[in-house]
Amino acid sequence: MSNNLKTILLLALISTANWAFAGSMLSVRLVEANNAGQGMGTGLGDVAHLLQNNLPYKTFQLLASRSMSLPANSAASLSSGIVARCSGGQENLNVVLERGGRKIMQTTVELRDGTPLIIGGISSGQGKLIVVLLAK
Amino acid sequence: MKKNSWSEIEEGLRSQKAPPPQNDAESFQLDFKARASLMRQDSASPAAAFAWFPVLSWRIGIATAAAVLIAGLVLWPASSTLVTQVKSLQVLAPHSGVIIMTDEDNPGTVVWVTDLESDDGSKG
Repeated sequence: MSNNLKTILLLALISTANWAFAGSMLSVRLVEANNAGQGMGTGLGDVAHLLQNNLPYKTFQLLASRSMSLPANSAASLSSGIVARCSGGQENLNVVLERGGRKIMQTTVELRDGTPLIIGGISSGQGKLIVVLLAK
Repeated sequence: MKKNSWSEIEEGLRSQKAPPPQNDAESFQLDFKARASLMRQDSASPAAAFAWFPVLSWRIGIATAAAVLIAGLVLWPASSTLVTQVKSLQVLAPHSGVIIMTDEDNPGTVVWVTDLESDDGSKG
């Protein structure tokens, strides 16, 4: 393979990789999942298949939705005492989840455009609370 | 064996005398024509000398497009390396386990903490 072709291929790879982290906004949603009924609440259409195909719940209801600019450096107060503190860019996004002022989880992720990150398992009555992070 | 007289030798040499030498230009032309007659001589086209340039560009263009396409197909969402990656995770509340799932059909990543103790002390 010629050097020119290698250079072109390398540039294509680099530009492709950069496109994956070109988001300017971070969406943070809080969802309650349970088996009390069946259905997907409004505002969850873009993650409906991901939720239904991977989690053992029939009902998903949007409780709160916030957004912040990227790189992130703010806290999103959601609902049910849940706060998501986010900092950093998409390639190294740090997320701290708090409930009632107490840290319950901390994670660092490489969040790609349009591919949601679902963090769940927080107890809530008969169901679970789920935090959905999505960069756009 | 008959011995030739010197006059006979001179006469013989005169009869076999080589043709007079040609000048350089004539010699070149004769040699050129002789060599040219031995090989095929297509008519020259002024554009033919540079015809490979567009062919080369066309081929490089196709190769470049193919390389970009392959890179895109290999690296774009079909690959799990392009799904959100969890670099580190620390669960600070009592729990029994963590499951990290990657869905390639519906691109996304699920982090599920089992038996995560809620603030009222109950487990989920």
